[in-house]
Amino acid sequence: MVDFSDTPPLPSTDWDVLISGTGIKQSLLAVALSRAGKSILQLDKNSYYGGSAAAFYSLSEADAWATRVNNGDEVGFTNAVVSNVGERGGSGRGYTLSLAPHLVYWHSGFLGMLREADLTDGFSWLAVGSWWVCLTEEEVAVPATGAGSAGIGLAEAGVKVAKLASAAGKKRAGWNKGRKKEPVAEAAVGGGGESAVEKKVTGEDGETTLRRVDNFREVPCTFEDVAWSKDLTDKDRGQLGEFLRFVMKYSDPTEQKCARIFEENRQTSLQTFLSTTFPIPPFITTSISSLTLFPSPPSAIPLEQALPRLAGHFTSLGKITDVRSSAALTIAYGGSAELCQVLSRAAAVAGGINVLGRGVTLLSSNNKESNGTRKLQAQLASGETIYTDWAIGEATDLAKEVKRASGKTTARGIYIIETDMSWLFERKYKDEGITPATAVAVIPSSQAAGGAPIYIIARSAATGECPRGQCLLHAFTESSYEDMNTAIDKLLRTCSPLSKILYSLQYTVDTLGREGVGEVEDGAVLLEPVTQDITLQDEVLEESLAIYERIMGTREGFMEVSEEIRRMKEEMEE
Amino acid sequence: MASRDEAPKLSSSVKLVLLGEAAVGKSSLVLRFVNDDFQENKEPTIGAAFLTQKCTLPTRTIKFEIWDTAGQERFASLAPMYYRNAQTALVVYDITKPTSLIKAKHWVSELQRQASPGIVIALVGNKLDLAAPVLADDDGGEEGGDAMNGGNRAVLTAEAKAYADEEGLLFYETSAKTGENVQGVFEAIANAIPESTLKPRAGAGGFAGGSGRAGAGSGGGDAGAAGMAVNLEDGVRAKEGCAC
Repeated sequence: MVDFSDTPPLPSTDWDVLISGTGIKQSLLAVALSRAGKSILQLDKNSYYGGSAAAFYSLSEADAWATRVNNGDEVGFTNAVVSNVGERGGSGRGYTLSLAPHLVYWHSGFLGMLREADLTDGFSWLAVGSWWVCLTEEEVAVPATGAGSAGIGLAEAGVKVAKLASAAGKKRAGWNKGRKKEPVAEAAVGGGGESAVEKKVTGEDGETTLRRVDNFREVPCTFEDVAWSKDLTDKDRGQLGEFLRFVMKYSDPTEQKCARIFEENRQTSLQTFLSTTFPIPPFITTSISSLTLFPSPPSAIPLEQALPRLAGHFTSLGKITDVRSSAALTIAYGGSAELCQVLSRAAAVAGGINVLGRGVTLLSSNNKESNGTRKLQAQLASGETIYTDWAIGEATDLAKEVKRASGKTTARGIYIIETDMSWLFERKYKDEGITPATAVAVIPSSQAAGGAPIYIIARSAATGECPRGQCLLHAFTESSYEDMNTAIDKLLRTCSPLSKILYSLQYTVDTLGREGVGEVEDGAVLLEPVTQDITLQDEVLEESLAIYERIMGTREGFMEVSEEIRRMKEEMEE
Repeated sequence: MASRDEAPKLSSSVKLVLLGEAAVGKSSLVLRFVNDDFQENKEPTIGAAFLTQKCTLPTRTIKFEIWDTAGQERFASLAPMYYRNAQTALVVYDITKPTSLIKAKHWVSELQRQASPGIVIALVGNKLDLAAPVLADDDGGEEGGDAMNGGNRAVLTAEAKAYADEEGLLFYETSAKTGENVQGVFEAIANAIPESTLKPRAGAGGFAGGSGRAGAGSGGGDAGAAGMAVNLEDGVRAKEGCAC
C-alpha cells in the first residue's frame, strides 16, 4: 500500500513462471515454485494483496472497495451497500475488514501443509469457539418424527442402522455413561440479568448444561455435551451418539454397513436422512446442519456433501492443545487476507519477486523467435512485455474472458458492533487455557419459509481487527440483505443494553463459471474462481498441488524449505 | 549466552523491521550485527523470514527478530503484515546518495502512519567507510579537496541529524563494511524501547512473544495475547514425540 509514485522497471523480462494475482492459491504457488527453484514473478493489478481475499485496514479503504464493486470493477462482486450508523473519526483506522475471515479446521490438509512448510509461526492462530443456533421454545419442543412416519424406503435402513448400532453396541453405553437420572440441583441463574449466560452447571458426575443465551443455544458437539448434557433426552442422546458414530465411520472401508448406508443415501438430504435413519428432533438436525457451514437449509444439503464437513468437524474436535472444545482455528488480523500476505512474503524470501499495482493486459503465445524460447508473452499495465513459460491466474487477472454462471449468489455482510458481545467468546470449560476469538451464530430460517439460514461469524477484538470493547460480525447467506439484517438484529438483542451497529458493508458474491479453467493454451493456466466458503477448503490446496505437479513433473517437494535454509533456521534457534 | 546464574533481568523478544531504498546496505547491516560478517556483493535476499540476535545490556536482554524486506520494497509490495507489531524500525539510507535519504523520509512517514504508535525508529546513514578520508588511498581523488573532506559523502551528518531530531528518531552513521557503530545502533534501540511494551519471551517458538504485543497495529486489539494464541509448534512437537 506504499505508493512512492515511481514504477521501477522489473529486474528481468525473462521468467519461468508468471503468477497474476495475490489470492490464496496464487500466493501458495508463488512460495512452492520459488522454493522449488523457479524464477517467479508475482503481480497484482491492485495496490494491495489478496484479491477477493483481501482485507481493508480502514473504513475508507472499505468504502473505496464498495465503490469499485458498484462500478463493476471488482469481478465476482456486486451490489455493495455501506451503512454508517455511528460517527467515525477521520478515515476510520483501527479496523481490519476482511473479505476472507476463514476458519481452518485442525485436521485440514491446509493446516498440515503449512506446518510442514514451516510457515505456521508467521501467524497468530486463534481458536474458534462454539456454534450457537437460534431456536425458539416451540421449535425445540417439536419431537422426533420417528423412523416410521416419514421414512419412505428409509425405515429399513433405519432398522439396519439400529441393528448395526446394537451389534457394535457394546460401547453404546458410552454416550450415556456417567449420567445419572436425578437432576443436579440447578442453580437458578440468569434471573438477575447481569450475566446473560446461564452458568454452566458441572456436577460431580460430569453432567453439564449446554450454554444458552435467550434463544441462542449452543450446538452439542463435544463428547461431554452429547454424553452428559441434561438438555438432551436419553433417547435423543442415543440417536445423536449413533449418528456421530456413523459420521466417523462412513468413509472407513472396513465399516461396510456404514458405507452401504452412505452409498444408498448419497443424494438424500441431511434433514430427511436424520429424521428417518437416526430419528432426532428437528432442532437437533438444524444444529448439526449448522456445523457444515453450508449456507443452505438442511433439506437442501445432500448427505454426500454434509458428511465430509461433519467428519472434518468432529475429527478436529478435542485435538487443539489447551482448548479441547474447539475444532477450528482462524488467523488473526484478517484470516486468509493475512495468509496471502505471509505467503507472498515467503515467496519473496525464497527469491520470488512480488509487484503490486501492475496487472497483465494481454497474454499470448510467444511466436517470435527473436524474443527467446519462452512459450508465452505478457504485456503489463506498465507497458513492459515479459516472456514466460507459464502464466497462472484467474481469468480476470490474465486478461481472459470471465464466464459468469447462472448459479446462486451469496449475500455477505461485515458489521462493526459497538460492544464486545463477550458471551459469544467465553471459554466453554473452566480448565481450558485459551479463550476463543471467534464464534459462529446461526439463525435458521423458519421451517415454514424453507429458506436459507444466516450464518454469523463473530470475531472479537482479540483478532486485532477492531478496537477493544467492540467486535465484528461477518454474515453470509443465500437469503436477502433484509433477512441478514434481521438475523444480526436477533443476535444483538441478546445483549443488554442493545448493541448498536457502528458500520456495515453488505455485498453480493456471484458464482463465477468453472468452464474454461485449467490449461487453456500451452502454459497458460486459468485458476478456478475462488469459492466463497467460510472455511479454507482443501480443494484450494489440491488445485495448487495439481498445478505444481504440471509444472515440476512431481508433487514431491511442494512447499519444502531448502536444506540450507533449514540449517540456518536451526542455528538461529540456538 | 548469558550465564544462567545471573539474577533474572528483563528479557524480551522484539520485532525489528528494516526499511530503506534498495542497495543502501540493509541486509549487510543485519549480517554485520548477527554474524559479524560482511560480503561485498551480497544477494538482495536473505533466505529466512527473519533473523534473530540477542543484545545483552546491563539492565535487559533483548532478542531481536530482524525482518528484512526480502526485496519487497522495490515494487511497492511490502504488505501491512510486515509492519505489524514491529516495536522498532531501522530506516537506512546511503550517505553517498542523497535520494536515499529522501526515500528514508518517505519510509519514516509511512511508519508513523501505519505502524504501532510507540514504535522506536532509528535513522541510519550507512556506508560511512566511503565517507572517511582514507589518507593512503585518497591522494588526488576528486573529492579529496572538498570542504568537509568527506570522501564520497553526499549527505551531511548535520542535515540528517537535524531531521532525526525533528522527528524524534534515533540517529547513527554506520559502516556495515568495517562494523563501525553497528553494535551501537542496536544497543541504542535496545535501550530506547519503553519498558511498557516489553514482555517476557514466551515459549521456544520465539514468535509468540513478538506477535503478542498489546496495542497492535493502529489501535486494534491484541491478537496473540496470553490465553488467546494457539501454539501450533508445540502441537507438532508433541505429535512427533508420540510417533517416535
